[in-house]
Amino acid sequence: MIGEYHLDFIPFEDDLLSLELDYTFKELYLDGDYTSIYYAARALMKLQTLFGLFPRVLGKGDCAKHLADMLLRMRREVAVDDPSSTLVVSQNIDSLIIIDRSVDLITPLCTQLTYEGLIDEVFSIRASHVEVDSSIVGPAPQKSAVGAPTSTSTTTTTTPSQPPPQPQAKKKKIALNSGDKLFAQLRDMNFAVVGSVLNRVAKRINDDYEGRHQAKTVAQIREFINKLGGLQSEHQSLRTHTGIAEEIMGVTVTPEFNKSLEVQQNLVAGVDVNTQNDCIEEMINRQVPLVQVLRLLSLQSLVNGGLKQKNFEFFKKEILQTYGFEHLQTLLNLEKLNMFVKQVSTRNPYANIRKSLRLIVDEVEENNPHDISYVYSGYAPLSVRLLQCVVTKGDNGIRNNGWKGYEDVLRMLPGKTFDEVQRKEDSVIRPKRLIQGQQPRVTLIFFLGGCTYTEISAIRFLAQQDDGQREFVIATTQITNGNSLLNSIMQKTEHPGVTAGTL
Amino acid sequence: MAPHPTTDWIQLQDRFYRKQEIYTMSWKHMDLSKYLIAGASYGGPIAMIRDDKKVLLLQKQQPVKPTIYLYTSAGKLIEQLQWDKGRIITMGWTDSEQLIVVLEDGVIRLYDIHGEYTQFSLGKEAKDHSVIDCQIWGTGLVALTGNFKLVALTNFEEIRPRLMADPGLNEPPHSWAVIPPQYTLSRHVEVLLATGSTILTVDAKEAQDQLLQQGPFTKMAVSPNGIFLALFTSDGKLWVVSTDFQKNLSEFATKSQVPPQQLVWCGTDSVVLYWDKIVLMVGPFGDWIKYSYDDSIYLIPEVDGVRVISSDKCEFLQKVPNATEEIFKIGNTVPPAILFDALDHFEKGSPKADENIRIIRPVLADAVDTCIEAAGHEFNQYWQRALLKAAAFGKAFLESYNADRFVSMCQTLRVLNSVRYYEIGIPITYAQYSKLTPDVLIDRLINRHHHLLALRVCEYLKMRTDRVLIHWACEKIKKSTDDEETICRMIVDKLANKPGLSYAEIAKTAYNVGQPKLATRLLDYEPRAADQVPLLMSMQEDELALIKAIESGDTDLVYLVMLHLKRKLPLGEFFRIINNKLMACNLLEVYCKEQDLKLLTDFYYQDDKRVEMANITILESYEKKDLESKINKLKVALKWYQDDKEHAFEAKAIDENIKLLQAQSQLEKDLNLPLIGLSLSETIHKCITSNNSGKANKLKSDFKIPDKRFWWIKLKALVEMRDWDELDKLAKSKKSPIGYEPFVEECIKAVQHREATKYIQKCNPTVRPGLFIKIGDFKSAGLEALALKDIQLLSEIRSKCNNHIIAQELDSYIAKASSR
Repeated sequence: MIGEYHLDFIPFEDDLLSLELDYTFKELYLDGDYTSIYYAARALMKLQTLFGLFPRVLGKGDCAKHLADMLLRMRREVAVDDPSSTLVVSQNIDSLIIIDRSVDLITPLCTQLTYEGLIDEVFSIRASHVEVDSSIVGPAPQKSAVGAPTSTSTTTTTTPSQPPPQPQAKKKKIALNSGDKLFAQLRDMNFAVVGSVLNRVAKRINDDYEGRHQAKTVAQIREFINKLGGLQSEHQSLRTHTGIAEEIMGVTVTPEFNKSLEVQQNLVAGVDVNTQNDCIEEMINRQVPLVQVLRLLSLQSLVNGGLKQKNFEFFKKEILQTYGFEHLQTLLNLEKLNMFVKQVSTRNPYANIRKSLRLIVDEVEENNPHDISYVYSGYAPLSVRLLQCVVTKGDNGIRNNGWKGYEDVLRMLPGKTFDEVQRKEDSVIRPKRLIQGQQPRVTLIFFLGGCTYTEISAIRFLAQQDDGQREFVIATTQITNGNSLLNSIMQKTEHPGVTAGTL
Repeated sequence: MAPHPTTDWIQLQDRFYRKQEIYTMSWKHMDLSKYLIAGASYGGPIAMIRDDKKVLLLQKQQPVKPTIYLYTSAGKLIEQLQWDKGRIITMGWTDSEQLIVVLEDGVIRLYDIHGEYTQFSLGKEAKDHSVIDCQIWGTGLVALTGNFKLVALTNFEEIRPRLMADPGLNEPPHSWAVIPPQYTLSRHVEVLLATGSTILTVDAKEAQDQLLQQGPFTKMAVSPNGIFLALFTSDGKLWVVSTDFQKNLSEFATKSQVPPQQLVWCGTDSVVLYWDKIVLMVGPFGDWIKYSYDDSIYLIPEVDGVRVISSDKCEFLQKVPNATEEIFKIGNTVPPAILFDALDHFEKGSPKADENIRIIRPVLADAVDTCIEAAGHEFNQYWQRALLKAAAFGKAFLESYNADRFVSMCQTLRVLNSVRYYEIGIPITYAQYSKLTPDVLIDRLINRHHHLLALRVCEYLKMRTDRVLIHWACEKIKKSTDDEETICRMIVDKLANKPGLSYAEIAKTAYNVGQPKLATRLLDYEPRAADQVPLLMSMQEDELALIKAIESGDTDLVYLVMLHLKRKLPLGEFFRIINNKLMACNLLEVYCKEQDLKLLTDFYYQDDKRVEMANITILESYEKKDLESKINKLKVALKWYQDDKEHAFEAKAIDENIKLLQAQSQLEKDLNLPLIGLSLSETIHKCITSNNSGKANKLKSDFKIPDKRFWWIKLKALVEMRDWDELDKLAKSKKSPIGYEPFVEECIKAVQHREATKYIQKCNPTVRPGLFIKIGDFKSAGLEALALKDIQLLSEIRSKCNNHIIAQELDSYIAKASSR
């Protein structure tokens, strides 16, 4: 017997589920192939059969609406298979919020500045594993168990323009999840503070090792030995992350990285928008990987409502002549996606959106963030700001206003807005729920078309606010970033040239 | 008040048996002796046909043609079937109440209760030698052929007759029996054949002689649980052994040389023998009871007793269940009996009620349970009620008694009473019902078209009602002569308040009986697309199938329909159906890009999508290996683009692409370098590195390359060649459009600090110190910083410097800068 196996959600963390469908962005928005919506609906339906109906389904975006409609349809279909279990309204989950990637393309195009985000940008994380040169993460742990490093060196040894000396270097796979205590601590931090944290941890581990000299009696020695296993694994994890952090540092100090970061930040902040073109032109002339150029150009186009005709054609010509005419398809794809277009009117909704959603926060304390904008050092991801519209309390302290109060800004964003209440078939809401004023605490967030690590970090940050009153579970079709997003829609070339590839 | 339950009890050694009358038969003047009869167990129906081996007086009223009559256990005619085939060997019933008719030529017919049948053959062996006898059980049968071979069919769902091991007989067995697979050790059917004075046990592989001397055995019967075998010997002895012949259980001499007409088990502990008008029940210890009848009767064995069908009534003969015996046995003083007695006293207002309860207080819960169980075993509603009342009474004295059993027994009894009602005529006992399960009972009700009762029972027992409703709808469609509008409305109205009911099967029935329009209309109500779509496809409703597949969102379904249509229809027709459906178009494009570019070209062409045509042609050109066809494809694409004013840029780009390819091909010949496939910038780079600046310059002007980019290409190429003189010339040729920092950076990358120094001097003074630091020239950096009077920068340089002589100098600069 051969049957269909529904893989559905793969849990990566307690608060993170992914369908691991790598190409949903291209399929949904470029090809119009809605297969992944069907898979998503089926997976969400499975969650509903386990935890009860989501009392409320909110969302933004055309594909998101499609998903919400399909969920309703599937509920009817499930009733055929097992009508006796007509689903009850969930007692744990208060709502499902569906965010369509097409609503916020700005966020993934920006360079992620959290630790996990940067690992993804530099090495690219696949299925919560990253593959790095084994030289980076240091020798095997047994070699120098006691001789702990006393400080972390932050000087850089390699630059990305010079490829590592041994191209044959052995690759090592490292699992990145909360099983690694140190990583759990670091992952959501802005990279700027990672160095000092690593330093602190290194000191502590060293002190702990030194503890062996204080061990005089047999009992004390045994106690130390018992601790040793934990110390050694901590030590290994420290070594790994110090190595990775150093490698990332090597990238972040290069002028290319900083130039492009500066351009990004100016663009999203709406500062000197038109003078960024020179920088981008120079990047093309330097023949940096095309995907980096496209990230900036798309960002430019998105925040300005397109490029002026002259610039638009100039950049297209520069790209085709520098990276090959094959990329004509890439450019057409971007145009079709509305990511890189000619300006048609001077009206620019982004400026308004930026203001009303407070996307730019000037004072960011990376050490002690007060707002989600820390993940991009000043830019708050639009998608997460939208979530905040729904989940933050209204003036009256009750938070089930849905989108109320934000209608204007939602109208400026592409795609339909929806807010639907699901009830049991007989529409009798059980009075049980209101006992003791107990309200469900979990909000499920579904990203259709992928989400970034920074968005995950930002949502985790939100969860920590509000005294842990609210839990968020993030579900997504895949975890993405600007590179993977654009790579999926770029024309694949069998180009023998040296510059056409990616990093 | 009903007669006391014990009135029909008869004691057999230490136990009691009872024969209760259940129905007075509805049929009139029935002479059972003239018929070949088959009765279904679990209170099932009775099938009968005139036995052609028996002489019959020709009477006027009787039809000449043989007819199979189907009656309920209450003698109510359900159906009569005109028999038109050959000689019937035997009849029997399956568990799902299908009538099996075995014909002489090895053909088997399976009738449902309304006379619709399917038929199949037992194979060549049976056909050639004909079937002389057949044994049937709930799920299968074994036929004995004319050449004394055995053919087994173990599953009516899956017709696969198999020949069993050859028993090697030369004459028909005296008698034979079958042990159904579920009761044998091997889980395969076994056959017991009485031959000579012994018995052969036959299975699929071998025939084993049990080496008995007591035979010949003229009659035999296997007990309902398959453990015991009752044998009747030619000298009139009834002998009970275990079916593996290991245990000898009892022997009883009947003094009759004639074998009984029927030998059946009553439950699992006594055997009933029937000779003409005499019934003899023999208990396990050789005691017996004799019943006499005025007419012929027929015995139907059940798991817990025997149904006795006679010309005027239907009776049930069974061992009195333990619970019933405990309560009603005269003079019994066990707790359940006392509890039952207490209720009696209570109703009379006698204080003895309290006394009774006190006596049995410690075991009251068990007594209540027994009363509940006994209620289940009663056919008489008066006693059911009395026993339940006693249970409820006892229950009231218990602090924590789980009433679930009581409630469920009340429910069960309501169901049992309603199906036992003579109009329905299913005299099922509580024990049979427990074994049969409510689900099967519902199926039986549905098959007899008691839809309303089935529905009520389902609702009452909180079971799913869909299959009842679906079956009802299907039957309605089969029988109805109304127009589709009326039928559709009738069905939908009835089923409207049942969300989640699957209409696919109803629609399928409609389609099968030749009502495709009705089928389509009904399918519209089917909530599950996965069920809807394949049926629509088989009904040739192609477009509708596609629409429904798209609505479902399941892209696999959409592909299923689309690929089916593509195979089935001419291309034009296929495109016509797809064209106005965006989702289908999108999916077709995705599919074609992976699998079938040719189809995609046709698709775009028929819809006149020029830009898409161009795009696809370009994709094709990339796949071409030789230059000529590559360029030709691009030229085609160019034409498509040129037709659309909106795509002037693309047209120009393709035009340039063609030019580049042509230029590269010329250059390849001139310079003997592989160039095709490189971008324009890379081509220029290659020209420079191969010392062909002239060609590079020509490309620059031909393709109107901006100065900035050209300088960058040149800079990089010259550094790569380490041609410092040329680089110097370039730098001096005119003011650099890209500034001189790139010069410095590229030199540093090539680790040429001396060259770099040259260009640092040309840079803006503010960036110079930083650039000097990069090449490690701290002294120059210091000087530049001093010129800028930047003390902070100076101390920064100082901190980085590790040469102590230069450090001293830097210190002096700092002093100088701060003194001013």
